[in-house]
Amino acid sequence: MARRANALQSIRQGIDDAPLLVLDAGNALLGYGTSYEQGGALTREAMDLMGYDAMAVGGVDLELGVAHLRSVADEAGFAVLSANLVSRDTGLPPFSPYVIIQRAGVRVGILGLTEDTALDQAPDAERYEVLAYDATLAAYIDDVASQSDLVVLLSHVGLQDDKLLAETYDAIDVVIGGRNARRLLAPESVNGTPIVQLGARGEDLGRLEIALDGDNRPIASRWQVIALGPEFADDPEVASLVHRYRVAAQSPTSSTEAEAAD
Amino acid sequence: MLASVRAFLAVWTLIVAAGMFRGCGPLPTPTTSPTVAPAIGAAPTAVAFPEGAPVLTIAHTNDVRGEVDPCG
Repeated sequence: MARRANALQSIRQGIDDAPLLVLDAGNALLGYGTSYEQGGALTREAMDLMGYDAMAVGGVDLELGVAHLRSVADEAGFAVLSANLVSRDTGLPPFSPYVIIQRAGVRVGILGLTEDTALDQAPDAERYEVLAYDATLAAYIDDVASQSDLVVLLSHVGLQDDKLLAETYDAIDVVIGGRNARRLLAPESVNGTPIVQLGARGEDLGRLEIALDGDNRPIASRWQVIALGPEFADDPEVASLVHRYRVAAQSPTSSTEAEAAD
Repeated sequence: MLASVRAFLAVWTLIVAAGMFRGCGPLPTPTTSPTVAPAIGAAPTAVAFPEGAPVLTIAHTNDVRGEVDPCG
């Protein structure tokens, strides 16, 4: 995590004032050890420090419940997105379906999708449902596209469905994918839409560069997988954050987020 | 005659020994730089962009699962 922060800092320094987005395609917050025990607070805070702009909701993020993730999202400086996870009572999504981010004059629409099995481990699953991907995109894609120069599908539905959706919806310009946790050697390309996905556990960082024309429409792209090996030093701020949470988790008196964040 | 045979065998012994030892040593240590990101998704990085075109960069992750230190 601290290496990732360093790598992101290197990217920021290398591109000067050119537009940069930092995105996660889901299953980010919970899962292993300290992050799970702290209810995702450590990961959320680290992602804020790293300047994440948005993440999609994946099933692992829901393991403590939709309501819990909603509370984490309320604290986050980045958007937590899912267009197809909805309340059974209201039919409304508990998370933003999409977000439009304008950066250096480029309007990027980012629409989140969650996998169909995402509620399997959620303790409050009976109150929610995951809608079909295709019907969800049909409902939102025109709205997103009309407000954006370029549309990113931030997807945790898996590579096969990502390809089908990219084939069906011309308005999708880029798919940042997850779920398979399969590190692609090169982007998949469907109808000229690049689809990228990394392996699991944060061992890599993806860097997708998109060249734009005068109307901020994509005309070419290239992708790099950055292996976060030991040549990347730990970012001291994120390393310190992790240390504080670990100390708090080992404390016999308390392991609460509030004390960890002191 | 015997000297010629010995010389011939000596040369072949050297050739065979060189072949046996080649590749058996330690792997070369890759040189790394803290400021250069190693790329393993190399193929698409060869795409050339039109000169002067603005570039949007998207840094991305997936399925990190709250992992704090994947190499630790």
